[in-house]
Amino acid sequence: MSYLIITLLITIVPLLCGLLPVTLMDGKQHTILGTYMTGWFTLFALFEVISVPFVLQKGSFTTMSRVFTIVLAVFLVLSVVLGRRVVIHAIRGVRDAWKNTGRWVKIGWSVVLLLLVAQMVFLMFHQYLDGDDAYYVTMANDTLHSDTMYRTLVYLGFPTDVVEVRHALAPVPLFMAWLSVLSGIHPTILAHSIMGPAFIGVMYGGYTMLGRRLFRQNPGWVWVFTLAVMASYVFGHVSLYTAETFAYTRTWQGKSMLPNLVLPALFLAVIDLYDQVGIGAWVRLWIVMIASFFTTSVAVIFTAVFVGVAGIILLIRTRNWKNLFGLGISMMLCATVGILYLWG
Amino acid sequence: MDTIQSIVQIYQNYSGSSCLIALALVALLYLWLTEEDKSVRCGLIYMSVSMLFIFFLPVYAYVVMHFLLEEALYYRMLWYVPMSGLIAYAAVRVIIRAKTVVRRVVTGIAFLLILAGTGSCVFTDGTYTRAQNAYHLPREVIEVADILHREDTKAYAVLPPEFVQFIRQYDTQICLVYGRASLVEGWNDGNEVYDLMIAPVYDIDQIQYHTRKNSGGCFVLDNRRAMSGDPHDYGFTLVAVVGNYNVYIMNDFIEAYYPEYLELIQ
Repeated sequence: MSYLIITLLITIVPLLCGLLPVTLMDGKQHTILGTYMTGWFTLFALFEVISVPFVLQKGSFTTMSRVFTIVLAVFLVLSVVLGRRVVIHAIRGVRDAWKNTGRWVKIGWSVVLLLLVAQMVFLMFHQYLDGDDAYYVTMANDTLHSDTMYRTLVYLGFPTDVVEVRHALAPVPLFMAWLSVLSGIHPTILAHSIMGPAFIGVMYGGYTMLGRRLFRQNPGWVWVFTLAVMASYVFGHVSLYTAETFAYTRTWQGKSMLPNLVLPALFLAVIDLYDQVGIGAWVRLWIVMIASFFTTSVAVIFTAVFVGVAGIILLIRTRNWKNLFGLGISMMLCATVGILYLWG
Repeated sequence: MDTIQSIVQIYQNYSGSSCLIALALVALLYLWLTEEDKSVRCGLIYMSVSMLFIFFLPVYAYVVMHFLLEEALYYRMLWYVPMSGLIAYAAVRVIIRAKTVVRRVVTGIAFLLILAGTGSCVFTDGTYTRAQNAYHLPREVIEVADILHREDTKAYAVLPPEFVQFIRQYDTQICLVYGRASLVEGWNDGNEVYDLMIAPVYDIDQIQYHTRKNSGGCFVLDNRRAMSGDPHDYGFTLVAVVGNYNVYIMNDFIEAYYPEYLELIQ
């Protein structure tokens, strides 16, 4: 039963969660992959918005967890009701894509999927002992057992009344604890054997989305792009610091989720902005920005710089001052989290 | 000047001894010269170049490293230059430009060979070992934790350094007298118990003293190492041997919390 629940939580829930936000985006995003990926970032963003106030107020994990579950349930219902047309569109899209895709492209995608599944299975049954898990995974475990959030000296196990705000702004361990509560699976098994491999799939899903945009004129080459990204990632373990190293050794840690899950989506969001596809591009950017804050606190600084630069280029390129409105909201998001970061 | 040195050092550490970053820069240059889609040009290429440029800006680096982040985390700015994405995008564009199928296949193989030659395959370079359990934790850690675990009370323990990063991932009922902060270079919190646990000969008198002083009732020792003193003389009983590790619990604690080991008390 536990494994059925976690399977639903990492497949159906993000998919349904993405239905509502993609209704605001242009039709090209109304695909199963687009909805699924948007759903993950929406889930992360919702968790960030709901959990951080509870952490700062020193609330209990149980209360936060219940509130988040209820909000998510309401959001999912709204998402299904308001986004049902997307489902029809997405299913039609799959049918049309199957009809219009050549044999070699289908074979190519099969190879990509096969390699992806092989990697996920490998990661399930192989371990990399990373010292930082003494913080991230233990924090998830401590959260469950102490019913507090970020109020344990996690390396030793002693309680503390001081919340380390810089860590608390990126509540990935709490998210793992929440998944653990719902599924009944130990947070360590969840992080290492389930979410690690699952996030590898999500990561390549994100790159496939980016590939779809980059090869808009040559959609038959997207699988080659995903395969090439995969090759570069697999051979990218050249130092302890690269995003590629983090992707395969610390997949479940927030600091790995930033460059590998969130960054491709951030680039895609910015390209969408330059495409001037309307409010949907801004909505995507805001969701992905908040998702980046959810992953690690360094995103508070670097995402702000990234969005600032993107905004300057956008204003120079379009000379459309209406973009200042969207940019202003983006900067307000950065400022809100930034103030909390500096205050902490 | 120090900041510039730090930036260069961080960049070199990030690159390692590989040319993969150089390959990403070549890819970026190629895309700069050939990309015609203006949105992609702005969103991917200009953004990557800008983030790289800002990374090398001394004033920016100084502010970030001195007022906003630890210097050791500044390398994460380079994550905003998507190395693999750029390499893959440039490679596929080169492949598409090749006119015949044979040339495309040859270009693809050449790309893979370059990656294999300059990079390091994470699946075969010794990064992973076969998992001993679904927790992906060392077997001995789990067995020792199961011995020390009590449902109704925390167990304060002195453990070998190789245990401290893992045991609380499995069981948070176990609390440690010294933790990861003692292990990591540069963080060393000067914990004297850690020094006792890495000494070539275990000083049992001191280890038991610090265990008691920190409200602990148990310690775990590597049985391949010599001991000066016998834990039994200090009121500790060997309750289990797990691989190369001996688990000792204080007799008072056995009486109070571990009745299953009562018969082992001499």
